[in-house]
Amino acid sequence: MIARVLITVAAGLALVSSLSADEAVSRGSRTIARLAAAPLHWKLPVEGQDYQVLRSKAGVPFYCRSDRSIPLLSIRAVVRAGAVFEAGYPPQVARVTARMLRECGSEGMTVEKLDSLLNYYAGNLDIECGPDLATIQATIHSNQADTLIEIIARLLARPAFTQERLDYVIQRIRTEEDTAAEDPFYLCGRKFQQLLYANHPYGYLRSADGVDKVTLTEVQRYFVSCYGPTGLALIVTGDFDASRVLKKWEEFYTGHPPARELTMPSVPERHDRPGVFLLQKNINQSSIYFGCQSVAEDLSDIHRVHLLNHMVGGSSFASRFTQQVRDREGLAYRVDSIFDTDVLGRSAFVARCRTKTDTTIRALDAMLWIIGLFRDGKIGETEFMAGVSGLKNGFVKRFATVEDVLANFLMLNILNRPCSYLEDYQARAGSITRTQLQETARKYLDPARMTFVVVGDVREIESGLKKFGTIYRLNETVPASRPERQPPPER
Amino acid sequence: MKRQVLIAGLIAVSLAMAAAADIINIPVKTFSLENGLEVILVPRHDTPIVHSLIRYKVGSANETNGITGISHMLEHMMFKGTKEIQTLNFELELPLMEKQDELFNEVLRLRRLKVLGRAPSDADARIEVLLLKIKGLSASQKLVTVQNDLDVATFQVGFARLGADTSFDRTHYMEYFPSNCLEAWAYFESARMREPFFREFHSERDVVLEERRQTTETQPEAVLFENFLAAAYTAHPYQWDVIGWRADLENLTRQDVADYHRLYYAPNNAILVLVGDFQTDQAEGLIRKYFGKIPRQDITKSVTLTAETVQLGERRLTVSQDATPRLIIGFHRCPVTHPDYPVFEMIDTLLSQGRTSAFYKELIRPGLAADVRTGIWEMKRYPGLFTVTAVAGDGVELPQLEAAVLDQLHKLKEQPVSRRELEESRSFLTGRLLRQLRDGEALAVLLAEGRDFFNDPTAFNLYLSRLQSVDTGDIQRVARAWFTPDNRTVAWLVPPAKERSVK
Repeated sequence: MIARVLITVAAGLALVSSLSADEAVSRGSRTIARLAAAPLHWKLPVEGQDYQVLRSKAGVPFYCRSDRSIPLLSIRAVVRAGAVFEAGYPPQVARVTARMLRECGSEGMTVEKLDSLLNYYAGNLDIECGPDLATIQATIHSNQADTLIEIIARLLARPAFTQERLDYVIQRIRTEEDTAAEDPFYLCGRKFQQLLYANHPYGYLRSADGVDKVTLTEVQRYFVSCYGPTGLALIVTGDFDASRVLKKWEEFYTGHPPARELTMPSVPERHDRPGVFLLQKNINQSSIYFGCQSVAEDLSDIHRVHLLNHMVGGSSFASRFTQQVRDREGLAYRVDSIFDTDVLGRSAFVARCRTKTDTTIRALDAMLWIIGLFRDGKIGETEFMAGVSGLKNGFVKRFATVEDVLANFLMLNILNRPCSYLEDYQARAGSITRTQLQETARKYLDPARMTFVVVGDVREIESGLKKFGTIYRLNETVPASRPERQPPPER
Repeated sequence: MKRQVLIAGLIAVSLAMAAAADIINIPVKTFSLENGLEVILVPRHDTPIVHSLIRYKVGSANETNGITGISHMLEHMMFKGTKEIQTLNFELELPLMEKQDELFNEVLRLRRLKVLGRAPSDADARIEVLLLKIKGLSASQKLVTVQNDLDVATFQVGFARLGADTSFDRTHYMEYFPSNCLEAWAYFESARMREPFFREFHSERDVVLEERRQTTETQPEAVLFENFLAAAYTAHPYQWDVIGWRADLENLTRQDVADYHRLYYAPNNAILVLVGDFQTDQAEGLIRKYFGKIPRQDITKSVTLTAETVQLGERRLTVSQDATPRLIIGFHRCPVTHPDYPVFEMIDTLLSQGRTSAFYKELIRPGLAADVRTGIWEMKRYPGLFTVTAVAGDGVELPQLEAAVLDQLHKLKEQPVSRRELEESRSFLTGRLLRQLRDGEALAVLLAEGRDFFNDPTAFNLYLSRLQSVDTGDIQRVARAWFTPDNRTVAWLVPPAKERSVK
């Protein structure tokens, strides 16, 4: 009893201190601000001056900037071929197709030959498929630039898909997902995505659900549909000659029809799945995910969403989540939030942390309390201004490497945003008001709509979790809006 | 003194690339301060960003039993501010911290009495109350602290997240920031090198314990690795993972960490690297101004002399975890300064890099293994380990998997690798180095590591030269010398239900 009282007193003091010290400024902080006050002499890179955009005959854009300090050529090919484009195809076909590209080689170049060449010429090649985009990332010694262009162009023009490799890829994906799910945090994220997005492709990104149904025909069909010039763009950096790169590309990237208007995926209606979903594991730490679907509906809104997420949990150690849950209360090693606005589907606010079993409820309380502060407009002027300054002054970090510079402009194209998005970003970030921040929090962060998932020794804490919503045990009853997509039983 | 670094012969490392011998010029400026701080500057103006790295030559290899994990704990404490940062009045904090130390010393005394069997009957209750009192004092102290002040202040002016990383041999502090923040960086980095203020010690210990739960205790493979290390070494401090043992973390004191900082975070035990958009004269001036007056320490006290005993036979262990069966096979190997170190890197590549590698062709493709990885680890200053970690494929038993792994190692001893395989491996490693040279943060790490281990920031030239000289006979020689049963430790992870039958 005494212990409980003392804990309550300590927690109360922590709370009081968190309210009182937020508006205080240390001497050291003032010194850092003063020493960094000189203006940064930097301007947004300009096409034609700082980089160039060339187009192949089929309409594929090449964002190029050379740098001859190191004898390397880097190519990043970005393809609108992520899971979100899977409408009309079996689930997982996007991921399988990207993996097949890396596993199969192309007509005239087996994957073994391809790997041997890359190793021999100090190169590498990675292909990944995300929710929206597939990305091919490759480098090679610059005296073998032609070889790399040939490898990528051949892959994207005529991959040599086979049933034997498809079987292998499917088996690998299953195995990898099984192994990944041994990490309770990964498993928690998987369950959260499944519950939040139900049948939408974002719902099965972290699982092997449905992968067995992908056929070679579907892979070929998906490839033809998505990997043509319409959805493709390249970033080329390093030690190279742009005209030579383009010439080599034309030699091998043949057979696809020219670029046409791309059919973008439709954004589904918002899907809420309130409740507390529990999965029992005999471990001494709880993994927690919670959040709700959302979307940044216009460009002016995006800056406010970025600020909100930075201040809540996105900016890591400078965020309220970390300050309170990690550093003030010592409850978690990592606690954060994600609110990715650069997506083609429907975005979501996601909050995450891991904490020992007996502090699970306390950590959730603290995170929701912080969300409440933003919703209720209880963020002080000093903290608000620090957040705005961080967003404005940190904008330049998006241009940390030459490849980043080009990626920013390429993504404008992918996301169909005007150049003014980058040009005006800092000014718009600087014009956000505290009232707008509160409105944004109220609009997007509604605990009543949120899905909570906890993986850990939940038997110990189930009764305390009831205050966050109706309890569902994932091993037993999974209330699915679409029953056919219930999560599979745990191994 | 500005000097040109020539990466000569870079291309000659591969027959395929020999025809186009390139020379890469990286302008490096190096100098040392009077207090022994070594500085390496590489200006690059392609983006308005500066990458910084401070490398302290201390890691878990400097620890002893009882204070394992202290290097990493200190890394956490370095983000707790100074007498100016993160406080409204540090003088008000001091007595509160001293009182917490006093209470915690009493906790330690009671814990020791319990071990001796002489503790009072209510020792556990007393300990609980003491710990709660510490929490209360810590909460009171927060009334005059500014939470996460350093993070917020640097984020506000444009810094990316302040990073740090502790390993076996070293601790790194890395940042990248807009170039107008250089003096702000020099201010806070020098302040925490000179005089950090270890507030929030007890709550930070809780954070580190959470990190241990997150990265080790709930991760089956990490549990296996921790047990494997403890078996592979009997004397040398590489026998514990960087996170340290739970009991040691629970009993560390603020004074332990302060003493550790004083000895190991001296300027003459550190290397500072800047890569990016700055003028070298300006950077040198700022570094001299801010870091020049920090006193040096007698760092000869800091060198670990404990040597690993000679292994006299194979060591084996089994760990029970609810996960796919897997194993780790490890062999002791030479440190990074030994001429044979690049041979291990080439073996690493030959075995597990890409679809032409032995493990991919012989273990993964046939389904014997779901995953196979080789590892050299960041055990570089002292003799470290070469490991193979393999996850069993569907229906594959660990004895079968182990035999398949050992068979590939045996082939390295008996069958010379082809000239082509050798060149592919060499070129792959060269390419990896080139990519590191291009990346600001990776370059900073390479330069600091070169200065640390070879007394030469551009020691990657030596690495390339050694890499170039490796031939097929070296692969066989090293495999035969090191991949022996007596030099081997094998750890199996088996699911609880299977444990008995496997045993």
